Amino acid sequence: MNRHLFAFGLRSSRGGLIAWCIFFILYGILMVYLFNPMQDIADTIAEYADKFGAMFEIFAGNIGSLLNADGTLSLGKWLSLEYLSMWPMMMAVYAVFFSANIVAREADRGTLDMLLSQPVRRAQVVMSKFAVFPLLLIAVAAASILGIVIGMGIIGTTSDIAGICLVFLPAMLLPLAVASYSLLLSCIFLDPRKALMAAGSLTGLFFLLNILSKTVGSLDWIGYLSIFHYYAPGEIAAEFNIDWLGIGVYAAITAVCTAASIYVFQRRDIAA
Amino acid sequence: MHIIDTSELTKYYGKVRGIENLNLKIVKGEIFGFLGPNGAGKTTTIRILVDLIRPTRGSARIFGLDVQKHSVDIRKRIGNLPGDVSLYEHLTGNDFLNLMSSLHSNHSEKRKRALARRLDLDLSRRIKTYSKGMKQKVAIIQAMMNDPELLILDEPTSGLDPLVQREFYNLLKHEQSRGKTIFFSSHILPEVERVCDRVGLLRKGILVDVESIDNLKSKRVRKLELTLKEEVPQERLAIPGVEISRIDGKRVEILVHGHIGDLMPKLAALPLEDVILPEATLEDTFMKFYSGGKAE
Repeated sequence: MNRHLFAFGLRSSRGGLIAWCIFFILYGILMVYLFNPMQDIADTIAEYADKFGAMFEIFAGNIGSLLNADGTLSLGKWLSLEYLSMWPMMMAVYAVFFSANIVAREADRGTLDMLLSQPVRRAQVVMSKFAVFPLLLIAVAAASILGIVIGMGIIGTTSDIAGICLVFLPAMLLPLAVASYSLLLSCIFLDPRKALMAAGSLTGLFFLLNILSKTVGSLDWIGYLSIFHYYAPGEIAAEFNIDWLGIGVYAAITAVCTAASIYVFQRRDIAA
Repeated sequence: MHIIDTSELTKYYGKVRGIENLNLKIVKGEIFGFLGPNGAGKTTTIRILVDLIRPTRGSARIFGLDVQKHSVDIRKRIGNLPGDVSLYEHLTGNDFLNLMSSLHSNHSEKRKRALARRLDLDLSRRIKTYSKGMKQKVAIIQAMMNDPELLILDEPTSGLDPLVQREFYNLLKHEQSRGKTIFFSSHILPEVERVCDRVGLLRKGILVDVESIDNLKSKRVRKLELTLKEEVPQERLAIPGVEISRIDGKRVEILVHGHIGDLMPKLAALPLEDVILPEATLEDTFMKFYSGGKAE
């Protein structure tokens, strides 16, 4: 990795980073703030969750009952449904745009010629630029936790905070895996439009497979082919039940696709 | 040892020929012109030399090192100016150059500033506000600021105004006097004649000849457009070394082989009203000369 290219990538991404951080802080505060009013209609929400269980499962995994034993709403599960389920989805979209553009946009603009005329290895170029993304994820996750903590401070509770923080482990790994195959497609096509379309379509396909597996009983096996299948924030937030298989799948996808990206990029012609 | 040494270097894009069996030997301290019309394979050759694309067959060495196996080591010692200059538009000229120089170990702030002064470029402005010529200047500084042993320049004067071009030629001569080697790709004959010591002529991906500039001048063909006061019999136009390419009443177009000065006394004997000497294009001058020759 080259620290100058890494720093340049980080500087170039700071606008997006700041926007995401602000968004998730405010979103976190809002969702936690809404928790107390929701307590008043906890029964209705629980009933609603039971009725549309499959739909909730698509986003939050199998969360069981929304209510605690005493009939109150669980903050961890509430946030799993309304916040933590959406977090990796939105970051996955960001991952597609970020990574599909990493190499392909430089090639399309012609700046890659100038960069690769300098004494820097192609692997360093790819890694220095891609390494920015995990850092962005960590920063956005930290901002998100900050928003939740601020929200908890406002409503005066600290329940489930440890579980909620734990959810961010798979929540960060999922978009990281999306970013890694988007990077691979960026290196294969060296065309930002094609890379974006391919990465976006693949992510959409994964999402569709996950929906089908949850809604069509005979197709439940198909969910294993979707990266979204392995993300279940509700189970982690309320029960500290981490799906290590999912963590392993995300880590494996990231490692394989990143290595493949470097392999492809090192061997291919950079057309004029 | 040659600074650049290619052997049977060939690149095909699918079935389309980029270059074929290119054998180039560039010696230390020379300015070598790489001349050819658009699409001749100049940029393909340069992209192989800087390891942006890989040859179909053959080999290329710079400083005696294989361009693929030792690309990073080579790039520490060369400055490359790509043909199509693209820069990070959101950066200032200074920030861009600092980014590029940070990737080198031997960068010099003083040299960067001196080059910017010499080319009259304000580095504090954002690149998106630069004209095409100013962007070209940034790219030139980028290629030269790390004091490379070899400069590889692909159409370097593109977008530069004549005054800056002249300053750039002086800069190249100065670098040559410091022992640097320059590989100068161009399709503009006069600038190659002006700055280069030797020239390689490329046509349809094949190196058709390598000549010293003096030999090149003696081989070239110049086009002249004569306007006569009256029509004259064709026999009067039969001058040794002159080929009539077109007669349209009192307007005659001729092709002159060799030095044009020898022809002037003979032309003076004609009832001349006007003589136009169009700027020599590469195609006019050499492509006709080489057509059906070695290139085929």
